[in-house]
Amino acid sequence: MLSGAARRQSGAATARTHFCMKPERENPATFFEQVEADVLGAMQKPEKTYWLALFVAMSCFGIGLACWGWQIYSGMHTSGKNNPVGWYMYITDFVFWVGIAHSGTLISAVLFLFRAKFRKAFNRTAEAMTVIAVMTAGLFPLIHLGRVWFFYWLMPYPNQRLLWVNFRSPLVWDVFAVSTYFTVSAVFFYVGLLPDLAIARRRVTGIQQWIYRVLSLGWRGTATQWTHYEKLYGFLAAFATPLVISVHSVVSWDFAMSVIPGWHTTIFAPYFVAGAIFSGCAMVLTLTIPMRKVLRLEQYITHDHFEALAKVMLFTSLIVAYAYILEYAMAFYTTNVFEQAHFNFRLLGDFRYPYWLMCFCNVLLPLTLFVRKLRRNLAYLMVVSLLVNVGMWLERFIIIVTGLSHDFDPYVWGNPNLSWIAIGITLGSFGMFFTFFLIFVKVLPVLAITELKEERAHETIHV
Amino acid sequence: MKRFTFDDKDAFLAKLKELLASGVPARRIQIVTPIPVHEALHMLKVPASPLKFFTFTGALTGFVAGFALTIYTSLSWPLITSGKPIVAIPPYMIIAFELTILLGALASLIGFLHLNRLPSIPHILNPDETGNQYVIFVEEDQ
Amino acid sequence: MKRLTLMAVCAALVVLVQLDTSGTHLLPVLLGMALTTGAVLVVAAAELSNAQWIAPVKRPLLAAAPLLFVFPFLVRLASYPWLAHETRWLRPDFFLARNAGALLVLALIGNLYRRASLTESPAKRKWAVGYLLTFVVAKTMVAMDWVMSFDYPWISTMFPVLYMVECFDAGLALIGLICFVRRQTENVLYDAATLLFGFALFWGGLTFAQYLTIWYANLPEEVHYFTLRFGLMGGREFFAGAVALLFVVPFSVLLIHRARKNHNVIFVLAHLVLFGLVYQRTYHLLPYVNLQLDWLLAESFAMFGALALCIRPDLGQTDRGV
Repeated sequence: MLSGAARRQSGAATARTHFCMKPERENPATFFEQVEADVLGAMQKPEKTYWLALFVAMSCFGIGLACWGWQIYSGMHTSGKNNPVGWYMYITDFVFWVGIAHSGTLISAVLFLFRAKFRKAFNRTAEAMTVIAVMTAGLFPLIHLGRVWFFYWLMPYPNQRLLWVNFRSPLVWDVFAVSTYFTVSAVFFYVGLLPDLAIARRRVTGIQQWIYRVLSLGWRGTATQWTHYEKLYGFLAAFATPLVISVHSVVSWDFAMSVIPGWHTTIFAPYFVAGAIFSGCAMVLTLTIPMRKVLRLEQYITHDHFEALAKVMLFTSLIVAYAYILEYAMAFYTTNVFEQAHFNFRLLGDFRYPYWLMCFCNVLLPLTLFVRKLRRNLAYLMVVSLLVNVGMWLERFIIIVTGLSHDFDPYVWGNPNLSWIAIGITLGSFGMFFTFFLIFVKVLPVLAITELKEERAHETIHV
Repeated sequence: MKRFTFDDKDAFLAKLKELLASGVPARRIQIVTPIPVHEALHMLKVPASPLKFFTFTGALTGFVAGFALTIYTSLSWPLITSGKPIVAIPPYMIIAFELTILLGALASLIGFLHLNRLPSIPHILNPDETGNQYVIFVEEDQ
Repeated sequence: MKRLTLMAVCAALVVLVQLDTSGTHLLPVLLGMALTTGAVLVVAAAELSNAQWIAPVKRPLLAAAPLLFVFPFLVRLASYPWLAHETRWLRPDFFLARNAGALLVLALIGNLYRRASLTESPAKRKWAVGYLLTFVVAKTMVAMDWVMSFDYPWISTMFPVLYMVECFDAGLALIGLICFVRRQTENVLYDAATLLFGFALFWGGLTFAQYLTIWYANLPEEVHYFTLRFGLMGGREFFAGAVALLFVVPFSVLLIHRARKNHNVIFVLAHLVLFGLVYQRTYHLLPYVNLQLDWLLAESFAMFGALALCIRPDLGQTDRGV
């Protein structure tokens, strides 16, 4: 831990950052009460702005559901898909939302194993984001199916026609990977919440209290309970970590296992994972910067925390930039005409404007985060995070559409149709995500109260 | 049942030390704390958690089940798809890997609930809230 | 005196490599590069992420940095197929110029980083970032030009990434060796071992990703890479050996927490990882390079001798860190 002298110096240009919540040396017991009051205070009766935000989110969600209903009624032609672009906005949205989910697990599980201090400001929000994003992502293969009611055909169940799924197909790997990811993330989220639910049940009354009592399973905090709990948390973090890498690798293999130029390339797995963490960090910033202001949690989520997250974003943007450059370079290094034609089409073809915007948002703009002042400016981070979200959505869109619309045979080249239904459903997915997130903010504690208490208790011992 | 309540962790630890030094056996002492207190767990000689056996069993089951499911089903309905072998190990490794993690995590959760006897109906119905205080319960000598 | 010996060994290495036309030089030079660049890489990455545990081994690891200056002189052509029909990128003069240039810049920045880090100057983070970026560029070029171009026009975009991960592995293995020699445990060993565990898993995942993508699409021009090597004597064995030593063994052994604190176990494991790297490189070079034992022994002796001479003086130095 840092000595007092180092802490006082921390305002200077040294790279040392400290994530202390409250600089005063006060009694930990009052801090415990304070953090409970602050975080649970966020769960009080909502104000008008909350209801307005919820209304907007639910309206978007409603529009999405209406569009989906229309699509089921009319047919898949309304989605803008055609031949050759058989995968269009729904798969873009699927990969986008699964990607967003990954950052949550990174912050919760991977940073836990690395003992990174800045994690505690974000981990509860990030875990909630993961669970909600995976739920949103999971809808898209169903939307894309057309005949949604047959979705269970993707599951290997014994049936009287003796049919089994094709385990050699990346789409089935997706089913297993995304289901596993959802289950493990939900379990991890719930386990992390257990002590905090016990705190919540103490501070509310009536029917709310009964709900928290049941959800907290009668947790007390005895010695044996804590021992098993810490072991479980460690194991779940250890299980979630390979999931961060493997699930988005499996999703990337939906594309890499094909032979389409621009899709069939070995680097897709780590490239997509880095992109996922990149877009997820941006979404965490988009969510927590306003949340911190509205819920008055400024002392728990400090500029140091945001700077650390901005650094992770910068690092992953560099990996994504490397992958862009490497793919391009390799295409021209080799003599493969199709690869070269594909990358020329990306840069100069029908989708060049989204492509250039994507390069700006994902490669050039994050480079400004090398400047420390900008990393600590929350308004700037908010703008960057929004543009990164746009850029990463466009990246998936570009990969999918340019790959399909311009592959081997010029006779079958073609662009997808503009589809308001697809746009509506995409909007609906954002609506669904924000609806559930707003509900989470009011129903569950947005910060990991028990972990913050632990951190404070350790600080006062070692300082 | 004697009950000692403390707001301060150091006072709590001091009392615990005093109780153990005065000959009270650790098995008659129960502590309830808002955060895990490792010094206290060490003093009470709480045994290491056997959770890893649940985890390992679950993970191993998942691994075997992954290969069993994929190999059995592909042999049961042998269709050649994209020129791949009927029993294609590289893709099946992915399924086995995912199931390893899934069953490992679920087994850990079940093990945790079992070891802690959760959900605990008496405590759901009537929680003995200790709040942010560190509490020592000492069972009476029979 | 020690410096003179080191310079003599380096000069001998350069002479040996430049005289060796068989292509055998690639094996010891690539390994030496992995160890040297990896050592500095691990320190740079650790310092950028504010990892305190690196402090005790920082000095011996960074002592390898001066050796980076030898690598620009070790760039030479082997029997590449593209020498017969050159392209704009693959031409002898451009090949030599860009590789030597990139490695020279890497050496400069690596040593500037070393100086900044050892003096704990506030600029050390900037130099660490600079080193990381230069490392990525230089290593990508080495992987693509020196090794992947043997199979021209075969490409795998994962190839340079695997090389970079292997460098990190080599750096971690070096930490294991250093800790054993100094009988040092502390946090260093545990954290380095945990990272080795993580990177073994990561390497395994990346190798699997490369293999799976090529296996699945089954394109003749891509699969040729594997079928060619599996058809040669020792091909399958080297591949299996590399996977076993770089993934299976470190993963299984380091799952056990107690193993991560035991410097005997880590010592053996470090050797196995380095052997795994040897197998991996041999596997890549197998169809094209006829390894001559005498050149191999002489160049390896010079390469690893130079590395040992660099690190040895600083082996006893332990920085407690700030």
